Amino acid sequence: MGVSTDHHLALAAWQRDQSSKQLLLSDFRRQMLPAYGAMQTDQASPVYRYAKRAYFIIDKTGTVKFVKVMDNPLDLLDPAEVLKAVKAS
Amino acid sequence: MMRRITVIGLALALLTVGSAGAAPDFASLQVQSYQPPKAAPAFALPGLDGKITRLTDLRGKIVLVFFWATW
Repeated sequence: MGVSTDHHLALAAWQRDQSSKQLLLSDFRRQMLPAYGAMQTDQASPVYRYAKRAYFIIDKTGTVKFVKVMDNPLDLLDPAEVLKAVKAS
Repeated sequence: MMRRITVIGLALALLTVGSAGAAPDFASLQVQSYQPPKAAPAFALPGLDGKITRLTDLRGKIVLVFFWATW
């Protein structure tokens, strides 16, 4: 599932454009990000508090198994490699 | 001779079973094992239709959480 700080209506418009069927959730109020250590606070940014790009794999019992928080939000992991990690969990 | 073939066959079978259950090399995947294991923090967030999804709704499934935004 994808979690974004964008408003859920903005996410809905984006998903329509992308024809994506993934579960997307909006953390517009920044409730989930701090709990997962995935929030960046930058007083110089007009957004001020925004999401780091990060990956968490949670197993069937609700335990965090693997994590990767990217230093640069423009960096992406190889989706095929992430899928391998999910399948191994 | 038959005994040697049996032993080799058994060893190959064990290797196959072992590799099928082995975890991939996470270092090469750049995904780090989370130690010590920790319960995922609970959340309740709206989806695209405004309906709330909770972590407990996903219990029993392996969940990949991907944080992103419009930066």
